This record gives sequence, structure tokens and C-alpha cells, in this order.
Amino acid sequence: MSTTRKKTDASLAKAFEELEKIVAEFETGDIDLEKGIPRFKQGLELAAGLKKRLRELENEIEEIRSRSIEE
Amino acid sequence: MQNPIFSVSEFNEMLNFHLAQLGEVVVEGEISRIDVSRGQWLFITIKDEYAAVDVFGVAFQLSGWRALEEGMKVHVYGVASIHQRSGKFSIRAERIVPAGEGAMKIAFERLRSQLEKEGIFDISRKRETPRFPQHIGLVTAKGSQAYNDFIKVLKHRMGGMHIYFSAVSVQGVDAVDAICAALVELNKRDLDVIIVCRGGGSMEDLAAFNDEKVVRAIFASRAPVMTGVGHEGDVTLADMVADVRASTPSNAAELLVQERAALIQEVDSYCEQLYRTICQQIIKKSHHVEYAQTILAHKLQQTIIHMHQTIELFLKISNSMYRQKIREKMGNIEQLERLLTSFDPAHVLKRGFTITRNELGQLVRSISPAGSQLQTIVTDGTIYSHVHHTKKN
Repeated sequence: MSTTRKKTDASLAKAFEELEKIVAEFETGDIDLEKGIPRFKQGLELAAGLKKRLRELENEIEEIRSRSIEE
Repeated sequence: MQNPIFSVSEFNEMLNFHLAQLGEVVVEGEISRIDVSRGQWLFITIKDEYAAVDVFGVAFQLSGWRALEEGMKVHVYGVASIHQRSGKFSIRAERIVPAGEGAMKIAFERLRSQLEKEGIFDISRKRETPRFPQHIGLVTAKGSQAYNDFIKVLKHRMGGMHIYFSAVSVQGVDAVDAICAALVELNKRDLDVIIVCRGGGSMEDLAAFNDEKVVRAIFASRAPVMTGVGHEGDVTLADMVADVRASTPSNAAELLVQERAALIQEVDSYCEQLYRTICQQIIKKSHHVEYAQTILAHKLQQTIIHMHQTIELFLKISNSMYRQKIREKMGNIEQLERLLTSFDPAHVLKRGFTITRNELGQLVRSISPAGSQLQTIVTDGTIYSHVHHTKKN
């Protein structure tokens, strides 16, 4: 479970970074529409994924015990 | 009955046996003497107004012993014992903690200054917590206000995270070891950050967070540590060594994660920016196309006009040339007509010439034999004649 979660989590930060990168590319000005439209589409997909993830409400809480406490 | 006779060894052993029955004792007193032998053994004397007692301790077992100084009021936790060889009585200390606000403040300052010299609080070694922490370690007391505040504020701000909660005592004799053990245990996992928090309290309540062992455990943590101890104004040594210091447990949650609404708004504004830019680009490009169309139409129109002009000019030129040619041809025709007219036999006859044919209708170009019949055409008719005789030139 932890591996799967880690992948998802990594993609959250990465998706944000990628979206910011796309916006920065667009902000610099001259966009080649032929390349720009697929990037635009990719940006919207990332945004949709991020919003879905950000709408998650619950946090998972796992209680762990350290050895000296049990002793 | 005669009193039993003990050897010195037996006597000391017997005393130790009886003293052990006391179990752990806590004695409050003011330090009147403190000697450290080879940096390993502590020989302390504590006193009150009427009496004094010696305390013995092993340095590495006594957390924060460096903060102790003469004149400081302390609580000594330990067992009473007689030293077997010398017969000296002392309390074998397991913990020595400053007692009272004044002593605690002095101990706090001494320890802070020592740790500062070691570079433990250096800003340069502070690590940032990730922007999107997903695996969070939490060290606090179970069911405490600090736990509830942190979890509540965190949930309000962001979901989908995994919290590894290690329940510890945050004050009292077990607190230091429990907090240290929790940090060691949590660091076995791959965590983005560890939060160490508790609610407010007196300096004594917060003592564990000013303990050298806890400070060093935070310093050694593999994952960045964020503290949220006490109320707004409380600053502990744990806060100073932590990578990030939050003022309260709620503030720790606030500093740790951004609010989901703000993030969603940020994502929305990114989308808007993308839309705006792509639309601007499309409008810009379509303007280019329109401009190109206009230019093209203009060029086309100019070309058409030019062609019209050329055709007209051509027609004009060709017309005049044609007329000239016609005139020339007409001149030729008239000339030919005149020539042809000149060849008309009628005209010849009018000038006095005649045409003579024999009986066969052939033109007579030489003298005909006598007796032949001839027909001579003149301008107004035909003369039939009979050759009487001929004479050659």
C-alpha cells in the first residue's frame, strides 16, 4: 500500500510543478499553436486531477508504538 | 541477647539492603557543591537550611547535567545507598531536574548557551518541509487538546494524507524517554515531516521539551521536525532545534499544509491563465490570417486592374494596328482593282482594239488563209468577215 501511495503522492507535487511549468511557458509569450494546444490540454488535465485530489476530505491516522513505550 | 557482630562489609551490605527497601526517593535541595570527575562521574552535595546530603551520578545517564550549577534548587530522583568500600552515604541519582521557575530558567539558559556553541540551533541546518507533505509523523499525548487541535485543523485544510501517530507522555518522568523513542521509531519510516506538539503549561510542564536528550533526538531526526509546543509565547529548546517552529499545535497544521480552497483557487487561476493566453494567441494568429487575406485580396485586385489595363491597352494598340493593316490592304485592293480594270477587254475595245476569232473560236494572232471566216468583236458588236486575200509583213 505504501508504495502505491508514495507514487500517488509524488505525482501530486509533480503535477503541481508541471502545471506551474506549463503556465510559465504560456506566460513567456509566443506560443506555437501547434505545440501549444496539446500543452494547454495537458495543463487542463493536470488541473482536473489536482482538484480531484485536493477535494479529498479525510486523513488516514495510524497509531504506532515505539518499543520503549511498550516496555 | 547479645548484639550480632558484623564485619564492615556485612554492615554496609545490611544497610544497603534496608535502604533499597525505600525504593526511589525524590529529594529537593540546593546544590552546594558540584564536581565532575573525568567528565564521567558527578559528585554533588545538596542542602537545605539544616542539613546536607551527597549525590552521586553517572554523567551519560543524567540528561541535562551540564545545566546544573551551584546554588540551583533541584529535585534529585534516585536511590539511597552506602558506598561499599568507603562507607559513604549518597543518593545514587537517576535524574536531577531543576526545581522551581528560577532554577529551571537558569538551567534553560545554560543548556541553551552550550547547545548554541555546538551549533545545534544553526539556521543553516534547518530544512524546509515539503509543500505537499503526505506522510506525517505526529508525536503528542493521546486524546490531548494538542492532538485534537492538530488533527482538526489539518483535516479542515487538506485531506488524503497519512498520519503516523505516536502517543507519548508529554510531561512527567517518562516524557523525555517516550518522546525520544517515538522520534527514533518514526524515523524508521520514510516520512515527509514529524510534528512534535503539546498544549501550553508551566515551565515545569514543558520541561521535557527543554531536555537535552529530546533536543538531541530532534537534532538527529532524519525527517524534518516541526514543533508546536505550548502557547504563543512559549519557546522551548525543542522549538529552537526544530527545522520549523510553530507557535501552537493548530499553527503547526496551518504551517504544514496550505488550505485546500486556496490551492483549488490557485489551480483555477492557472486554468484561467492558460485559457486567456491560448485565446490571445488564437486571436493574434487569426488577425495575421485576416491581414494576410486583406493583403492577398488587395494584390489580387491590383493584378486584375493591371490585367484590365493591359488588355485595354492591347486592344487599343491592336485596334489601331488592325485598322492600319486594313487600310493597307484596302489600298492594295484598290490598286489591284485598278489594275484589273485596266485589263478588262471592254476597256481595251473602247480604246480601239478588237478581238478576232476564227471559225473554231480561236483567237487570230497571225494572218489567216484566204477563204476563212472570221468574227471580229468591237466595242459595240461583232463583225463577220470573209478573208479575201492576205499579205505578210
